[in-house]
Amino acid sequence: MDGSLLVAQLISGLTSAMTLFLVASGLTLIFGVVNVFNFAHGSFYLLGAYFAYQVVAVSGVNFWAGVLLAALGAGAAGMLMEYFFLRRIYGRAGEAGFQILLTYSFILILDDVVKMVWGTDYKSISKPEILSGPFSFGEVTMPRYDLVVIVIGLAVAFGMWAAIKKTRFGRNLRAISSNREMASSLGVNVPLTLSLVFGLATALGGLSGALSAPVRTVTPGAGIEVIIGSLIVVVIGGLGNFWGALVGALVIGEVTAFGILFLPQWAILFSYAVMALVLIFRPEGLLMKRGAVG
Amino acid sequence: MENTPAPPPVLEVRHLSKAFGGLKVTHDVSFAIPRGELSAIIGPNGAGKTTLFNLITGKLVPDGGEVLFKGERIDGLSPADIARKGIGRAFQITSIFKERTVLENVLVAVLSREKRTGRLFRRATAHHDAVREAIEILATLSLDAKAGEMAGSLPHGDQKRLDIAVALALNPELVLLDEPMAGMSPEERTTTVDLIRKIWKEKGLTLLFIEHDMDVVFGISEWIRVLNQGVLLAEGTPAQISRNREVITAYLGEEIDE
Amino acid sequence: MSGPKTGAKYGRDEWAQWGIALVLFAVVPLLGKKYFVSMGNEILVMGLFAMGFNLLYGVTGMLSFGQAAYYGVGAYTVGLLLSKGVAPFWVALPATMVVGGTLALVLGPLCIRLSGVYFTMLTLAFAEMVWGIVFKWYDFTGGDNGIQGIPMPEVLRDPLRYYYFTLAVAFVSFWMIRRIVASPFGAVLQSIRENPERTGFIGVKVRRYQLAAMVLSGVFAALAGGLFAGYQHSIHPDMLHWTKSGEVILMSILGGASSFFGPLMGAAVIVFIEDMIGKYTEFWEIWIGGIMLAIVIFFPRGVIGTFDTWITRWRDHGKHAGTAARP
Repeated sequence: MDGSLLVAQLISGLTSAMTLFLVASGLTLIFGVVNVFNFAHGSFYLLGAYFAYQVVAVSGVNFWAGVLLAALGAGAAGMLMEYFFLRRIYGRAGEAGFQILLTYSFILILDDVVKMVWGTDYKSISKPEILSGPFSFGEVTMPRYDLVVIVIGLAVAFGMWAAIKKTRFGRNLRAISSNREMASSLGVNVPLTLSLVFGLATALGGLSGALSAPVRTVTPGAGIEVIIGSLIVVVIGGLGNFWGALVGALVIGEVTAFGILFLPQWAILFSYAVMALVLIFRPEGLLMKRGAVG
Repeated sequence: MENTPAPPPVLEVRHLSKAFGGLKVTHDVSFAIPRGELSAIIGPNGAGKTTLFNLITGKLVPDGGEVLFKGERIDGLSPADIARKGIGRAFQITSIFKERTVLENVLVAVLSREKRTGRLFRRATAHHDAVREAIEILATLSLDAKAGEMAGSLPHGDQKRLDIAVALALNPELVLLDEPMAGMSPEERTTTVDLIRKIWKEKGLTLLFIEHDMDVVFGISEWIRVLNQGVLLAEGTPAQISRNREVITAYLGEEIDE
Repeated sequence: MSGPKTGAKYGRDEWAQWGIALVLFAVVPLLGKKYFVSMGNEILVMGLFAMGFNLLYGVTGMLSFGQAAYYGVGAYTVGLLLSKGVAPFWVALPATMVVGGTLALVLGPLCIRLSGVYFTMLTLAFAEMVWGIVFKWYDFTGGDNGIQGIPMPEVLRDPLRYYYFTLAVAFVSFWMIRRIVASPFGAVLQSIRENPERTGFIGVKVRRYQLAAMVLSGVFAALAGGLFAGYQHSIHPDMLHWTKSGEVILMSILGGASSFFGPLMGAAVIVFIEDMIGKYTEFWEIWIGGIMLAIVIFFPRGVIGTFDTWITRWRDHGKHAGTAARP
């Protein structure tokens, strides 16, 4: 096996890690701030992909504008779900169970909506012209598109971190996640912030879907794959931990990329194996302190 | 002249420490509780009293130091193992099985003690001896009349007594009560204090409780230990503690129900 | 969610429920229509699956989104043993229970490492893994074609006969589940649902009991799957699909996870609804999703549980007419 193949896989793993990170970071954000596990998060990835297809491949809008619109569309859909439905079960006894059931029902509903609007056949979008070629630096060659995806992923990671640490919005988020009532009494508009956070997170999921659309075919089945992939990332990196989402995504991205070299059909099993090991030896996740979770 | 060695204290805590992040919640705490003592742990809010209970009963693992029960080390053991060794605990925030009946709450604890919880086929309530014992325990806490009611529908004071009943169902030698009177009306407090004293005497228990109500504390304890900011400030008889300068200073600014 | 009423004795109401259920299931198929037999068979199979699931969910408070793995593996164990001629049906059915329980013993400890939402997601993830293995292992499992034409023993080939066989197995299983819930073991499971921490403090090794609940649930799920394979004479990876896990959850919450026969009633309703939907449209997910959404928002205690409460309140109101409302 020569070095250039390994490097190619390394980069491919990095790219899929970035798409995973975009989704997982949104999931972590919702869980940390809104205290909801958005089981349906993969469906917003799906919406992002289909919106991008509709806007770019069907209506012929510029690719990057299309990606942005797709992300916004997914974000809007997320806010609608939060405002009209999720909000009704905040504070119920046994809320966690109801959250799962409610978001699960949305997986089913959105799944069929997508099939009804766009059909069940595979859709595809082509990459924008300038990005469809290779990019080389030194001996390394990679698809230009992948480079852009990696850059976007890192930019989002840095942007989110900066926003959470330095802006007032970020401070509001941190206040709400530690104590909702107190944040409210300190003057934070909690309901509005919750909806915005939800929208931001689902927009990130939609962005990931839109960015993945040119690389993978767009099918209804992607939703569940994505949520399970995000779960594996979050378990490995650490529950509710932002950097854990990045670390977990990198681990899974690379494990899968190299797994494909050895057992192409069963590459996903490697991710499960890593997760099982983490569960056995460090259930709180790689980035959390020992004993953080029971 | 007796040559037999004195029995080890029921509970001994040696140089116990625990920190969360950088915050030391328990700092080098040491004391010993002799068999049969009825004693109280007091201290301002945030002194680390419940944390101490958590360290003793296995909910938290100490960073340093040891906990010994009847001479045997128990730090590091799980709450289930420690409960089986003979330490019962009632909780500050009532911790009962709300959607089960009062009888079922105590019965499951009795059955657990008797190691019958692996049984799959005979009805739990057909274990007549266990049911009888559960009702007796409820009776000692004046709850037997309510045996068939849902635990969650009981008034607050009854729920707190049920909490204690569940702890007693394990036939413990040492019982830890975390603010057993919290939220009770004055009449309920008097009744509960009398009940606790009666149970302590009749069952020969060693009883350690956390309380803020100083009437109760000075009324029934034989010995008082004072915690402040994770440190054992003082211990002694009620008379000694009430005269202790440091204790009084620690409480300045706190409301003392005298 | 509150637990099944364990009651000191099996009260008169409960004997009545058992009697009615048994009579209904025994007599209706005799009314001649093949439709009743096939519907009845499906209801009993899914009912068994749902009752086994509820041992985990309604009784122990563990929401597993991966029970389809055990159901599907159960079906495949029977299907593969029979179609490859390795064992007769009478051996395959008990064997499938062992396989289901063993799978739970393997996957269970991994899922139980985390609690709450994460537990649920882990059950889903590992179930998807099992589905993926079955789906891709074409040489062994037939991949996405599944296996058809599974041979059944002569005596069970008649659909009506097979129906009564399923009825017997199902009701014996229901009885076993009932006894388990009322036993000391069941009392511990219910305590775990109500207050896992306190349950530890009364000397119970909580994780051990949670694992036991998963194993029992897996055994009943596998049995249901095996019975279904015998009924349909075919197996398919769809039986392990995550929507199957969701289906059994819906049946339990529709019927009410806190009543004993709730899941069975939920199964009956859902089987009929799916049959009706299937006649008109291929878009069944949106309907099922809509029903689940409605239940979560408007009937958190289950539809049948809520009606039960309304009827009780109406009855009590009639009795105490004129007196002040109870606090």
